Amino acid sequence: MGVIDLKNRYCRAFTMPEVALAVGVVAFGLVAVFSVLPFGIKAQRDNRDDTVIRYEGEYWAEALLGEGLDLADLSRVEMVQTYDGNTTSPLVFSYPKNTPNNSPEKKTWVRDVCGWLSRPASDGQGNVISPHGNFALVKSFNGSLFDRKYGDANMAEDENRDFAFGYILEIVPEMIDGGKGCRLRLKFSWPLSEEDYFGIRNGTVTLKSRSGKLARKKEWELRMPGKQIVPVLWRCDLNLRERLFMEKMSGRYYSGASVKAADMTDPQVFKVLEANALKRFSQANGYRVMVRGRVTDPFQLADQLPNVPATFAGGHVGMNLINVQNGESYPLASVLGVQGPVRFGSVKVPSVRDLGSVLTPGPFPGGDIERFKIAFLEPQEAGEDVLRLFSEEQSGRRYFGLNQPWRPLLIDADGEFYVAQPMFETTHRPAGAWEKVGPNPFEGNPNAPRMFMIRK
Amino acid sequence: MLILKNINRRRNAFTMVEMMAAVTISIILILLMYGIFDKVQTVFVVGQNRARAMEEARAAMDMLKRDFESIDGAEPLEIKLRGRARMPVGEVLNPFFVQTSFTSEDDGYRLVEYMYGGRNTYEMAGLPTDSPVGAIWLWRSPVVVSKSQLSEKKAIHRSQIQDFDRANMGGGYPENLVAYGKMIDGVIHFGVRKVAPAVEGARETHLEIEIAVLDQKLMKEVEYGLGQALEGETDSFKYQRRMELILENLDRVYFFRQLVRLN
Repeated sequence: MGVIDLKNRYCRAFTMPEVALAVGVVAFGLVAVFSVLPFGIKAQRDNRDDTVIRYEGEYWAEALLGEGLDLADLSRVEMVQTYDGNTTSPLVFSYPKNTPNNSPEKKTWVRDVCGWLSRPASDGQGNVISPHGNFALVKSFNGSLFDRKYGDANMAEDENRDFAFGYILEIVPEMIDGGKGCRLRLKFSWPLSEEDYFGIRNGTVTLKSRSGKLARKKEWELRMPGKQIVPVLWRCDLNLRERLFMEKMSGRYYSGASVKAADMTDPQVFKVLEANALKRFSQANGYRVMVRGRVTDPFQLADQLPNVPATFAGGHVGMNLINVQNGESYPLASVLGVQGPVRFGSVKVPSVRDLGSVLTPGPFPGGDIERFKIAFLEPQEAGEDVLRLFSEEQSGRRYFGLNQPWRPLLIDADGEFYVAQPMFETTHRPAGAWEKVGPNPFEGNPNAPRMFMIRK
Repeated sequence: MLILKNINRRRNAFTMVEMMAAVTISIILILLMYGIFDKVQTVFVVGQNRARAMEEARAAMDMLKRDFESIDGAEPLEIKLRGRARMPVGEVLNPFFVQTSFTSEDDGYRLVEYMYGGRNTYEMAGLPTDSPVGAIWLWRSPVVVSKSQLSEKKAIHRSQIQDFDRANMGGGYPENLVAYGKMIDGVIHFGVRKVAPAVEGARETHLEIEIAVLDQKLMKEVEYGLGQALEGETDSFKYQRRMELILENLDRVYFFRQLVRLN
């Protein structure tokens, strides 16, 4: 009996299987605990990303409805892809990182981005514009300063750049009610892996395919209404006189101020050079003029001026060289000083030539120049005539390369005239006839997709 | 027979050596687990700090945005530069600070003023010279139904409470400031700028509002940690060291930029 007691007591120690089982259970518990931790950390990161994306959404919504705001941050848009007509491969535009900071491409990039991203699926007239949506590869505007620093366009070559938070933005603007209204859908897809960036940059994948429902890709969508989607007004849509007018008046669109007939004769708006002033400036600067269609010198060829052929029937600089003695006027193509072209309009993009050919045989000589003056209005024209002309419907007229009915430059509201839409400067557009001539011609891109503007 | 059986059984228990080996392994495992937990805890705390900093910055930004959206377009919007940081942050932020005041129109009228100031006081004289870190201060007048009620009365009222604050500051009670309330702490950049379309002669149609905020832990490291370590050093040296520490921790500084349409 005593033997049995002792034996039972010593059997209470853990056996090896028991210990192994216990260790197994503990290990299982630990693994379970550790496997939960990354979810907590990931949840934190996801929350941060969500916050950033919502701020990005609000920023983009205002930027797109801002009608061409000068926003430096849009240089963080690395690439835009849009579609033209029924083609399935996208048109790709990349940030011009290798051009100088004051290059026209960089200066207009911000507005170009908004112009491309605002392209609707169709123009409301049954014409297909961008049926697959518009896409942008963006480094976030908001977030940590690390992301700000390495997401900056100037850090394009830095190895840390792709660690900066980025996303794909898809924008689908839709015209509704036959073009009388519109709505916008903005979809954000993130995060982007190194593989994503690699594929996108070397062109093996498109932003459209990467913004789809890929595994592990998060998405957030924002829908908002707009007022109207309209084609932006390019220089090549206008003749020279209209261009000059819009250069001076585009600012009124944003201020909401009306255009007055008196503005047409106001020398503060449209420079006027009367005979004496023209003579004085000519003697000081060696002015030479080019009249429409032909390089000429009014002194040597004064008698031939009425016979100048109207080769460039499409337009003129907007200023007229007027013979004050007999009232004859000649539309000007350019006026030159020794320092270069005298610009009656304020052309903000230097390399986008406005006036075509520039060389003339010689300056105005002292005597004959007194017969001339330079003004916006023709001798028999009143300011009101110009306003009415620019507010008239022009049946059959279309935007350059687009089957879209022309919208008058001015809206006539019971005798008050308002600018209907501003003129957009860009290098991503076709060149007008006047821009293809001269020593520094602007060739443009004849196949550039039309940009649009969304009104709030 | 009985004794032999007992001895055999005792051999089945763990020996001292086995126990020591087991304890050693356990200690190694515990240390390993502690290391992992510590790391995870650190990451978690850093994440929490970030989340809190973002939350605070977001709340501040939402308040700023709401106020700026309700600007009465008929009244002037004043934006004055209060100062600039003496060092840029990285290549992308050149911090500056503004004071901005405007009339807000939302179920009545009131004057609103946001300004960058020190962490302890909104007064320019109180801005520290040894640190780039400050705070955004806010003053809102009571809401009135008519704009005419706003003008001088409120300005006088504000100046009176500022005088009150100044008098109290001599007594060392900065927490009792009443003219302006501290909206958010740990700010290194507060900018408000008007934005116009890129067309000559176009009027400004939008405002861009920017803030950059440190997370609380980084702020403590910058303000108190370095403050103790650099005791006795010159203000400009402290300022430089603090800025350098911020530069080393750019991932813990949050930047928000929003666009607001002006009425």
